[in-house]
Amino acid sequence: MFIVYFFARANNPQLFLEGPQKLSVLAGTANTVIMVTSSFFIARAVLSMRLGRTTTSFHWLTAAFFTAVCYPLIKFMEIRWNISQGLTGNGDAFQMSYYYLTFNHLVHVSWGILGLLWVMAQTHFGGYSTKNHDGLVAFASYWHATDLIWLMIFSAFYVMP
Amino acid sequence: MKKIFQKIDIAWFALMLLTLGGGLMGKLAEPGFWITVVIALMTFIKGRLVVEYFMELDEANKLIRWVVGGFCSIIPLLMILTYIWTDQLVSFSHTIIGE
Repeated sequence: MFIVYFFARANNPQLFLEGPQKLSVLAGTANTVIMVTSSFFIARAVLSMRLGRTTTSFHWLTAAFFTAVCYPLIKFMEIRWNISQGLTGNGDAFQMSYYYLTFNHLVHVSWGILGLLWVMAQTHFGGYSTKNHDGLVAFASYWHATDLIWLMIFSAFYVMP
Repeated sequence: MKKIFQKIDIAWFALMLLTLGGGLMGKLAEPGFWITVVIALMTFIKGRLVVEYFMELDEANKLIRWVVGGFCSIIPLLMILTYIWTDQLVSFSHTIIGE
């Protein structure tokens, strides 16, 4: 997916100079803060579980959930902003690559939020223990990877002039 | 004595600073080689912080460590290379799509 971005950028320098100016840097920054912070809360939940503090782990996961759900909400408002700026998604190479990467990411975040609900339920009902919490670790890895990809998207579309 | 802040807390704080710095650059930065290098470097550092302190890949399989670590490096590197070799990349893309 990123290869598409770099080819599109090289072939359309003017579009990639003007396009980011229409994006809401505030929304991009807010979503980065959300992704990083929810990732931090999940890492904390894993650490607590490792120490046998199941209730604390559940509290960290709950904090991660309420942080994570802000992502699609801000994304929804951002898309409305984009449309008002003429970024409708049926336009040029910049819009194509922007929506291609960010929608793909949004889908993964949405799946991740459902996964988060699952690990919260597992944690709450005693499905994990200090010795066996592989499911929680697997979910944490997924969420951190989603965070990592967003950090790249943020730099590529919102920060790079 | 119990440490008030663990490494993971400091990593989160550093990520916040880099993110807010990035947002500011997104508003103010003008295109140029050095600004591209700075942004690529910031992106790399953020990626490494997530991999090292959140993902804890130290004990993971070597292949997984290599793939995830490589991803953190390759995207920032491509940001710089795309800036330096724009014309070559355009020629290459025209070659592969047969124009």
